Amino acid sequence: MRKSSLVMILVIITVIIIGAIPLFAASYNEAPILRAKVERGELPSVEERLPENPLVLKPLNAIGKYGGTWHRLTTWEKWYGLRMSMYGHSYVRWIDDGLDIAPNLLTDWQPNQDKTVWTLYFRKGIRWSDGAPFTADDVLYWYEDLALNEECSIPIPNWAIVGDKPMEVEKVDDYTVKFKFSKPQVVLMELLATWPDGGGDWIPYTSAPKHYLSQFHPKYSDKYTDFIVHEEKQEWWYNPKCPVLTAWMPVRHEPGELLELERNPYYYAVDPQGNQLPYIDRIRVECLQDGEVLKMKVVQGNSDFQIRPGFGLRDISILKRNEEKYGFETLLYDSGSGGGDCFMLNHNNPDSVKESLYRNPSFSRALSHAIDREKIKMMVYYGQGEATTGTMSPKGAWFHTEKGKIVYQQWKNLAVEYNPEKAKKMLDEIGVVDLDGDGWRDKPNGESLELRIDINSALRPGSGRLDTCEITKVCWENIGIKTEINPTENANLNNMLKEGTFDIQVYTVNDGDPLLYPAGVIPIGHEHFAPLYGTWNRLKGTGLLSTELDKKPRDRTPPREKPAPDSPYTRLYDLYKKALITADDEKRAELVYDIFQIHIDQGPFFIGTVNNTPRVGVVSNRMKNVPRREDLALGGFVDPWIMSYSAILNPPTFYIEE
Amino acid sequence: MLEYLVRRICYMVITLILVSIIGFLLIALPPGTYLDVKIAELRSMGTNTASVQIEQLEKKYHLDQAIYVQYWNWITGFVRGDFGRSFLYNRPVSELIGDRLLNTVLISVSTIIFTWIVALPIGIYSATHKYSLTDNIFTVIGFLGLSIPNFLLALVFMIIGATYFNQPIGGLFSMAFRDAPWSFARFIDLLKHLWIPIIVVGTSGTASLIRMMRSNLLDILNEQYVQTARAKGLKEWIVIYKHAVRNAVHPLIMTLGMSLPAIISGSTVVSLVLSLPTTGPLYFKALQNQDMYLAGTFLIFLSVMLIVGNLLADLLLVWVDPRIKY
Repeated sequence: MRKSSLVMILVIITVIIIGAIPLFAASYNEAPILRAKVERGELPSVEERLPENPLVLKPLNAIGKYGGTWHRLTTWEKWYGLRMSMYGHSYVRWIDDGLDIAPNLLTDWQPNQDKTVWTLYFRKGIRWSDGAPFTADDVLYWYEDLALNEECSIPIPNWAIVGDKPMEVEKVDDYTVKFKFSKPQVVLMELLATWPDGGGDWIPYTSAPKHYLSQFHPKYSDKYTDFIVHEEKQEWWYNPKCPVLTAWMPVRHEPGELLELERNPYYYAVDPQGNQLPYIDRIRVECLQDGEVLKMKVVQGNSDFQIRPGFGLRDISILKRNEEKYGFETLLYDSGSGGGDCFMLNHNNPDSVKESLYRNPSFSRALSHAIDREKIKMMVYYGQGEATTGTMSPKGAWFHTEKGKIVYQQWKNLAVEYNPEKAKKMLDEIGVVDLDGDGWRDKPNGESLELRIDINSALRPGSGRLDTCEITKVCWENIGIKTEINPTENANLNNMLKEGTFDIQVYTVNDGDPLLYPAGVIPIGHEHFAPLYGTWNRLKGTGLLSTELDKKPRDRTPPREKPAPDSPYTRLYDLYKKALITADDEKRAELVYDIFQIHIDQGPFFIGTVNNTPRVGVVSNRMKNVPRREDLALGGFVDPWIMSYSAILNPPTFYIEE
Repeated sequence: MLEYLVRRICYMVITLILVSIIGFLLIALPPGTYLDVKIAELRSMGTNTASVQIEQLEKKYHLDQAIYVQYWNWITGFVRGDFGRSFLYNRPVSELIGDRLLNTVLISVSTIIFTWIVALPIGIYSATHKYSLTDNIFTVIGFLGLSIPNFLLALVFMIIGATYFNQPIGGLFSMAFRDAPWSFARFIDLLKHLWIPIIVVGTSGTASLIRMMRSNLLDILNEQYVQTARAKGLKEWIVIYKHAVRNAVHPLIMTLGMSLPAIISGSTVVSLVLSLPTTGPLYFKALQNQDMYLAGTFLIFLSVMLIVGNLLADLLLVWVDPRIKY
């Protein structure tokens, strides 16, 4: 007993010493502009500003130099592109193109046996950009005072609701919290890594600067009775006064025109030599009104690094021509797109005959066989990418296992072959033949059949999507099906999706994991192939579902309909829901492959064209440490918005060398 | 005169009220609201807004009220200088529009001045040298100017400027001067940028003014009083400038009032293409996103500019021609 406790003590002492070595050894370095401030006494020293155990980011090629301004261009007045390039507020970060997850604000996390309770350990000593410490109270403030407060429009994120009940957050100490769920939350870390610092308008907040924002909160201040001012102040990309955790902090904002950021002196990351990141001092984002002007400006070398919003493959020649003159390089990254522009037939079509046709796999497979994908590949994608029936992204982790590879091939090759004769035969078999002799095939009941592709009218002529539609229209008319392309104003198109009155919509499926982003694969929400069923599924667990049952599905607000229990729409949803609470990894994998199998057996639910076509990026010659395609684990995975692509490239390690 | 002014101002107020009602209705007319855009955005991020939250949002944006209540709240705010909140930017509208209105006025006024300075002499020259080679050249240029769409011209200018002259594209200031205080160098920088929009927006106006000036002057030069003047032995330039041009310029002044809206709408498209910080792009975004109060406020201000412009044109006409009764 005594001996073993002695050993224990020795071990503990050794651990403490080894653990303490980096503390003593660490001498951190900082940017000259910050050092000047420290010397003037305006800032505490870098050691005091950094957390005990800073995040270490490894630069791609070389240790960088401090200084410079990163010029960026955007057409998004909400600065999405910029917010996507920073992993500041995220608990964890994706690495290796989404194959793995690494710590960010957290240093460690621990689920219990059945994954209902997650203990999260935050990096000790992280500070907001104004120097105030970041603690568990900031997490509690976000969750209890904002998300759970029904007066406030910050919603409870979906990952926090498992088994129809919002999680509970318990503060263990200043740097430890527990997330408690009523059912297993099995993909918590993956979901926390998605949408870094916001892809949309309300970032999926996972913390909020309590010391600043609580002065606008009705509970903490007598001055306010509602959240109008709070909601204005919390948007840090519009409000430079709001403290942030990102590598750069906004210092000036002119709505719709300009956003200027400066390095955050309290950013918690260093490079392997102990230099505090980021290397670049300032970011200046200009908002342009028009995508073509943006291209022109980029071509003139006005942007140091640009992926989004940006270029199509057709722009490569103009980029290449100007590379030397303006000093930049054109990059190509893999998009990881699952099928390029996909055609989604409306399984809740207002026309009941069409509806039953669209639900018949033979019909959609016939349409798929009729599409000349090689032609689309050559004309729209300049020979890049691979013809596909339309799947989830081939980059997705589920397709990288033994079983996954087989499933992927099956799905991809389901109806990919260009075979108009086969297509015609399939249509003949299900009774879609020319009954009135006008040269066009008709519905089985004798009415004339016309497919209508509803697309956004704002698409520029020459955009890839329009070309894809034109080619497909000709292909479908070649097998005798009359097709019309219907450009519709965007608001109107959204309404057609919501009401389920569209006929065929064009959609892209870019994501790799149905459990993280089910769009397009699982009928949830109205944007996909079964809008009314999707809305029904989405509303499950809310009080709204049981109301208006006496009305017709299309007369309800929002329009919705209950899918039959044995239909793929219910089964897909049930499998998805079940997988989300299945703690056992193998069983969960089973369920995910079952989801894919339904798509293979009863699909395609979306008819894809060409997958994994490249995305164009531009990097100026003075910008260093920017990864090229060959430096990346999967060669890039640009398209999924949840991955938020440029953040994964570690912009704080970029530097500028004139 | 005073009575006339008062009457005109009363008409202006009534016109504005009508414009605001119709405009507001039209802006609110398309299916869906800004909220739909927001909710769709939220959902795309994997967040199901609970119905309570949707109600909160509707209340926040006053979208749960009837359209006439929304209108009344908004329009009565005008008196207090409160133009409502922009949904898109989550800011009071008044914070967003100030500078942009100024820029719009700057570009519009410079364009008008440019058009007149260029169009009048050319028009007069063309009329007095009818069917000469120069007249024919100006005629061809004029027709080209009339028929080329603004935005196309803007793109062509941009490409030529960028490729051959290293001219900066878009904006009203270079990066270095954008935030600098006013100085001579900054003014020069502004001029460097300003000429493209002025020429682009002004071309079609110039062309039509040239045509108008030429035909009017041609008519007038055939009048008997011009012959009389010549017969009296007056110098030719006095005949033309004092007697003929002064009478030929009426219709042009009348079009001045009407050319304001054309310049404003013309500059919207051009501003979009050239990324100018005028009202145009913001107005356009607001309309696209159903940002009702922002769009409505722009509409009101642009109408005010148009109406005031018309009034000024009318007053100018009175000043030019003492025969006009009002």
